[in-house]
This record gives sequence, structure tokens and C-alpha cells, in this order.
Amino acid sequence: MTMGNDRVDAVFAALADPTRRRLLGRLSQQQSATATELAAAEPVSRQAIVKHLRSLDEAGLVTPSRSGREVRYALTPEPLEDAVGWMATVGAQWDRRLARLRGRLEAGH
Amino acid sequence: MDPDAVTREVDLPAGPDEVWRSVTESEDLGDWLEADVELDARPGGAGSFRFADGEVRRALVRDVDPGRRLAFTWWPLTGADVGRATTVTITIEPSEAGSRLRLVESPRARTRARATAVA
Repeated sequence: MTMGNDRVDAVFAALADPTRRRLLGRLSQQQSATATELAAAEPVSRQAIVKHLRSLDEAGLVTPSRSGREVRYALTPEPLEDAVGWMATVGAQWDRRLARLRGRLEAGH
Repeated sequence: MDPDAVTREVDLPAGPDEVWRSVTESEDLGDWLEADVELDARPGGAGSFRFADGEVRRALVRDVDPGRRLAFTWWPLTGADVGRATTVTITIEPSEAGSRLRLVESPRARTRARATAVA
């Protein structure tokens, strides 16, 4: 598993916000969308959507591409796999460690 | 509650005092982590962990409520995740079985450290 040090942090930070999670959900249903299109269905300003898209871009979860005067955003879900992989790896480590702790306490040490 | 944290909860067949020793005494902690551990379990205390697989971690103790809660930020000095800090918070409370231990490892070390400082 390859994980950039700050990238997984950025992914988790990006996912912590409900608006950004909704944007990812919308982008998963279409090839790409502009900030204006995405803002149409959200109760916040286009400017706020642009800011959220920037966070998602920094986390590597969306990729902007310019076509003419507009910028279209497409979902790039690979960093999600890194983040999920981190949780699975760390969780499995603690499962093993906590099982050893329990065994040790059962043995009366 | 972080949506992105690893959380585990276990019932342990020992009282909170004994469990507390298991998580704060270097030798006891090293036994179940399978690591050589040196931990100064006081706020601001340093920690060092050398795991069997060769991974080496340093730690900084964030928060201590004796017998109840230990929080530390740790980061690997080796391997693919070098420098990637996460915060581990262990809380212990009495339960029918003896103790209930709750462990949370959160990747948002800075956020968590700030939250702990405020709390």
C-alpha cells in the first residue's frame, strides 16, 4: 500500500464535510460537472462550492479540466482506496494487539 | 466522533488499575504491542516504540487522566508512512467483565491535539 503522508490526512479532512461528501456523490453519477452545475442543487453559493472543490482537488479526489471558459470537475476516487486501506491496516493491527492484551490479562499477568 | 478514525472497544478481565498499568508501564505495554517501548506517561512525556517488524515510532503524550485516559500522538521514523502522525486515545472504565477499553486512532493529529488542549 502506498500512502502519501499528508494525502490520506487531506482525504479524511475532505470527507469530514457533508457538502463535500454530497459533491462526491453527485460527481460519481456523472462524468464531470462545473461548479455552477453543482451549485444549482446545493443551498450554498457557487463561491462556496468552488472552495469545496478546491479542497477536494487538494485531496486528489477530483480533477479539474478546462474546456473553453469553464472548468469541469471529474471524480478521481483512487485516494479513497488509500484512506480505506489505512483504516483497514491500522484496525487489524489493533485487533491483534488488543487480543494479546486480553490474553495477557486472562493469564493474570 | 471522527468519521475517519479507527475505533475499537474491548471488555477486559481485569480492573481499571491493572489495565491502566498495561497501557502506561513501558514493559507491560511493550508486551502486548510486541515492541520495545519506552514511554513517559505524563503530559508532554516522550515515547519510543521499536516493533518486531523493524518499525520505529516516536510519541508525544498529549493527555493523561490517571486510571482513565491516555492520549498520545505518534509517528513512524521508518517505512512508507514515515512522519505520518496519528493520535491514539485510550479510555478505560469499569465494566461487568472488569474493564472496558476504548481505543481511537485518528489520522488528524493536529486537530485532535488542539481539541484535547481545549478540553
